[in-house]
Amino acid sequence: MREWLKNEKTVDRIAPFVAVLFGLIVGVFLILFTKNSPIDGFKYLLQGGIGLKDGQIDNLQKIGKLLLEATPLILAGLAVGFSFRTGIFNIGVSGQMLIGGLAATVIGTQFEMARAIQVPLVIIAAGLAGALWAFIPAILKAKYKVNEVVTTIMMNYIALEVVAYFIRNIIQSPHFDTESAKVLPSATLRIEWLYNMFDRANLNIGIFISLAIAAIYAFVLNKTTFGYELKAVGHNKDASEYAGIKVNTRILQALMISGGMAGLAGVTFYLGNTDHIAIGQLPSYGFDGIVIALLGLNSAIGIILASLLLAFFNVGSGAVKANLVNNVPNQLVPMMIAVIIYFSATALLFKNFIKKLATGKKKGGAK
Amino acid sequence: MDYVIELLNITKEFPGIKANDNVTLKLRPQTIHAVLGENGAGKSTLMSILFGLYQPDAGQIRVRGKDVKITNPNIANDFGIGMVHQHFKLVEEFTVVENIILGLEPKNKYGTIDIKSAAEKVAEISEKYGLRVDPYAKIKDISVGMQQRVEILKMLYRDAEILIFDEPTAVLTPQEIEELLSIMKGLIKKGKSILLITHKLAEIKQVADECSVLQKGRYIGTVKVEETDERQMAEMMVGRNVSFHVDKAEAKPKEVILEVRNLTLQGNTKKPIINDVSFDVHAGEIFCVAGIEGNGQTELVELITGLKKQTGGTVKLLGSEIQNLSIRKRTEAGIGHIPEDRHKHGLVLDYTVEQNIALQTYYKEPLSKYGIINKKEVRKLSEELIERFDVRSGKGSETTARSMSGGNQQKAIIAREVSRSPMLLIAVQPTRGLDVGAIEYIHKELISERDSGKAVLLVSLELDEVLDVADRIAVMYEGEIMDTVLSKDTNENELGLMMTGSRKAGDK
Repeated sequence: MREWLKNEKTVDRIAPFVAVLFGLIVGVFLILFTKNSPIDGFKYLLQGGIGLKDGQIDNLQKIGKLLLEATPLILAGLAVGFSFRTGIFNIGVSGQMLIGGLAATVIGTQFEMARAIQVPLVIIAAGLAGALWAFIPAILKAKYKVNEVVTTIMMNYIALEVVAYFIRNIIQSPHFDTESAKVLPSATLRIEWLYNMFDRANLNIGIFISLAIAAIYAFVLNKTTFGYELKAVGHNKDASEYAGIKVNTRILQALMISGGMAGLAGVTFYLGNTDHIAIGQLPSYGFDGIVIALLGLNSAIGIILASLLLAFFNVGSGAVKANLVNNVPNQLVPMMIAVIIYFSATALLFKNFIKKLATGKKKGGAK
Repeated sequence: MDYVIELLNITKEFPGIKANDNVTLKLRPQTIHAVLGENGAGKSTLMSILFGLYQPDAGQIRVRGKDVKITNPNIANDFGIGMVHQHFKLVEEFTVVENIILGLEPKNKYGTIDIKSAAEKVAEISEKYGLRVDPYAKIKDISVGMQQRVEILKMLYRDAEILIFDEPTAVLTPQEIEELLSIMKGLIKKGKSILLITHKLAEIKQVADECSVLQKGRYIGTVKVEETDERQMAEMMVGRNVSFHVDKAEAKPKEVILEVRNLTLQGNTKKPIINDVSFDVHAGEIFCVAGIEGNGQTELVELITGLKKQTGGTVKLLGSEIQNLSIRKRTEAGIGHIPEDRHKHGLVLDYTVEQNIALQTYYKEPLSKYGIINKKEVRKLSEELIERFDVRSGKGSETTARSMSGGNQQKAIIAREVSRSPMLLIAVQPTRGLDVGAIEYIHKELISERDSGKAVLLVSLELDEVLDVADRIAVMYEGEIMDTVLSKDTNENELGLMMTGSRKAGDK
C-alpha cells in the first residue's frame, strides 16, 4: 500500500477522490445540523440523482436527466481542460457557449431544411461560432501578450449583449419579449428513441457529441504531434520556441479549439436541454467547467467522471430538499458541491497529506 | 576552545537515500573550512542540519564545545550562526539598509523605524570589513556581487560569528570572485569563522585552511589545504582519477561551416548589443567566444539560432544564408544547440526524458507519421541515447526531467543535440553548475564532435575551460569582438585584459 502511494501519479489521481470524500463528510455534518438523518439525506440524493428507490431503479428517467445535465458539463469541462493543458486560462467558456448556442438558434429558428442537413449544420455552426468568439482573446494573447483571463471574461458580457440584440431584433419569440422563438423540430438535437428510452427525459444526441469530443480530446493530446506541441507550449514556451514550435500559432489554435468545444456545449444546451435562448442569462456551465477540469485533472476520463458527479448532485438536490423531514435550505447540496470544489482546488494539500501517510510520520523532502 | 562548531557522526536519511552517513565536521575558530562534494553529495543537507532546517537521525552538534540541539534557524542565529544562501533572499525594491534590518527594525522614541541609526551601523560594519556597500542604494540597482555583500552584512549586523557560505561564487564574475575571497580572508582575521560550501577546487586552494570531503553522503576525510593539491581533493570528491587537463590532439580545421558577417543587434540603448561582429567557424575546430557575462555572447547565439532577429548582417551556414530562416529551418539546416539556460530553453521540465529526447525530431519519421506519435520509436530512441550518453535517472525514459540532477539533465540535452549529428554544434556554458565528473564528460564530448569533423561554437565564462577546450578564442566586450587568438598562443592574463576591454597590444 505504501509503496503504491509513493508513486507521484497515483497520488495525483487519488487526490480528487479524497476531495469528494471530504465533501461528502462535510455534507453529513450539514445534514445533521439541520436535524435530519444523513442516511436519509443520501438515500434521497440517490433517489433524485439516479432514481434508486428501495434498492432498485425502476425507471430510467432520472438517469436520463443526469446524462442530460452532464452533456454540456462534459463539453464545458473539456473546453476548459484543453486550455489548461496548453497553459491558457479560458474563463470565457460561458460566453463562447452562448455565442455557439446563438448561432445554432438562429439557424434552427430562421431556416427550415431537411433534418439530416440542418442538425449537422447547427452543430458545425455552433462550434465555429464558439471558436470565432475565442479568436479575439486568442489573437490578443498570441500577438500582443494580453492576459487572456481578463479578455475572455469580458467577452462573456459582450456575448450576453449580442444575444440580447439578436433576440430583440431577429429571433424573438412571438410570446415572450426576452426569449427567442422555439427551435424548429427539423433542427433540434432531441431524438425520438432516446426520448422514449429514458422516459421523457430530454436526453439528446448531445451526449454522443460530448463523448466523441472527449475521445478526440484524449487522442489529440496524447497521441499526436499537435498535442505534443500544445502541451510543450503549455509547460514551457521558451523551450518550445527553441525547438522550433510556432508558439504563438499554437496558442491561437488552442484557445480557438477550446472555444469551439464551448460552442458545442452551447448547441447541446440550447437545442437539446432546452429549445430556446434567453436574454440576460449567462450559463453557469462555463464556470462549472473550470471545477470539472480541476477535479478531472484535465484528462478526458476524469472530466467525464467529474461531470457525472456534478450532474448527479445538481439533479439529485431537489429530492433531498423535498423529502427530508425537517426543512432544509435549498443551499444544502450546492454547499456540498462547493466544499468538494474547495477541497479539489486545494488538491496540493491533499497530495501532501497522502504522501505523509505513505512515508510514515517522518517529515519528508529529499535532498 | 579547539573548535567553534563540531558536527559529530551526523546521519540523516530521507526516503530512499542516506543524505548524510556518519559525517563529521569540525570548524576551528578563525579559519575557513571548505566542504567539498559533487552535486548531491550531501553538503546542503549537512548545512541545513547545522542551520536547524532538518533534524539529524543520529549524531551530535556542539557549538563552542557545548552539546546543543538546533531545532530551527532562530536558534542557529542565537548561537551566532549565519548563512549566505546561494540564491539571495533580498527585497529588490528595498534599500540595502532596509533589507538588512528586515525583521529586526530598530525603533526611535516615536515608535517609527530608525533608519538613520541603522544606516550608520551598517556603514560602520561595511567599513570595518571592507565591504564598501552604500546603505541607501536599492537592491535592484546594485550588482550581483554587491547584493551578496548585503547578505554578508545582514549576518554581521546580527552579530554572527560563524558564517556559512553556500556556493558563493557560482553567480560572480572572475573579478568579483577575487574580491569575495579577499573579503572572506578579512573576516577571519577579524575573528569570524567560515564554512565554505563549494565544488570549485581552485577557490579552496586559494582561501581555505582545511577541507572536508563528502561523497554520496559519506564522509571521506578532512585534509589540510596547504598539504594537498587540487588533484588529490578531486580524487577524494569523485572517488577516482580525474584528468584536469583536457587531452586533445591538434585541431585540423577544414572548410568554413559558419560564416558570420557584420552581425548587428540594436537594442533600446544607443550602443548596439551586438556591434558589427564577424567570424568564421571551421569544420574540425572548437571556436570559443569568451567574455564576462552580459557582453553580448547570449544575444550572439540567439541571433545565430534564430531566437532573436538581427538588425543587420548575415549568417551563413555551409555557404547559404540562414539569418532570415525560422528556428526549425535552421535546426534542420544543421545546427545543434546546447542552450545557456537548460531549464528555460533546453528542457520541458514536466516532460519525461523520452519526450525531451524527442523535442527536436518528434515531427519526423520514424518518431511520428501522419502527425501521430509512434511511442515505440520514441522509447527506442530514448533507450538508445540513455545508454550511449550514460544519462542516469530514477525511472529511465519515464523519469520527469525536473527530478533529474543538473548533470544528467545536461547529458540528456547533449544526447538529443549531438545524436542528430549537426554540422555546427553550439554549446553555451555547457558546464555551468556541474561537478568535476560531468564537466570532464562534456568536454570529451565536445572534443569528439570536433574530431569527427564537426564545427563547435563554444560560449564560456570560465577561463580554464576556454583555454583547455578551445582551439581558437574570440573575446567579446560590450557587443564587439576584441580579437581572435589561438588558444595555444595566449594565456589567462592576456584574455583577462581583453575581457575588460583592452585590445591585444600592437594588434590594432
